[in-house]
Amino acid sequence: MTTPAKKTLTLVLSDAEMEVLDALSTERSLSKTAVLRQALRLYQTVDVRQQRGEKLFFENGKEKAELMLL
Amino acid sequence: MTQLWNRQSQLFEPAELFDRIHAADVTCFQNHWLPPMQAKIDELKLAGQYNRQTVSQWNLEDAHWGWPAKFQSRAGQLQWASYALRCSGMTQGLMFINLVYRCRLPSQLNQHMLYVDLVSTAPWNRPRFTPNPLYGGVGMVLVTEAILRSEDEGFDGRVGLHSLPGAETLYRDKLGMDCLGPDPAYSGLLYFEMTPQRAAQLLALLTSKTGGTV
Repeated sequence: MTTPAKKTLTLVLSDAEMEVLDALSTERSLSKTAVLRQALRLYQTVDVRQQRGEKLFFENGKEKAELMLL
Repeated sequence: MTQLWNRQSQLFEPAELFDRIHAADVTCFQNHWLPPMQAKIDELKLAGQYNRQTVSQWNLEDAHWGWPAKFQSRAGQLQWASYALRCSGMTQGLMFINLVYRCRLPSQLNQHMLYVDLVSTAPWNRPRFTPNPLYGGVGMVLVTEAILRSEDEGFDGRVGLHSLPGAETLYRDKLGMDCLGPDPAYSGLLYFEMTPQRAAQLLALLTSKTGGTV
């Protein structure tokens, strides 16, 4: 199979951002790169749907709230 | 490079797995897959026999999947990835996967997994649809690639999918996936997941069978 080409990016994060990345990486058993890849996939998914005029909702069984993307 | 079993010559033939569906695969689908499937569906409709049961009997449960439209609408979206398997100059198999799903299996709850959205083999490879199916193993090659991709993504081989009734045996018995029952949110299709343990077992088995390569 042909392997897709990959490029390197140096990322500068604040301590707080790195802490979150560390925590997500541990909780999800993913490498930091994998967490950032997932974040980019989700961000693009939400962005594409918002551009189509769709809305994003969260619900917990009792309440349903729209996530306002500004 | 991989290989497919030619059921007619009883020999393995070299096949190539591409990490995305290309326009040539869509053309192959439109020119070579769709016409025989559509002809059979038209025949069933004309005979007043077009229903779930006959479509399943003829191994055409996936005939309504619009591969060309999906190829177009999903292009450039990072949550989606696709694969095409080619052999003897023709597209033999197609697969779409999604990379933002989470597990439902209690032991893996909320862990990231790879979701197999669509996987199909060419009509000339299908038992029941054609009297002498050509290549065997297309589905296995593609699902094995899904497991490998899951490992590569850091998902530890976790794979989930909804199965069409005709493929349930493959996922449950041959691949040993856990069945979580019918999904009311997905036309009542059975939902399956593969655990990291089962994925590792399966890959070890396949590696031993192929002498070191999967």
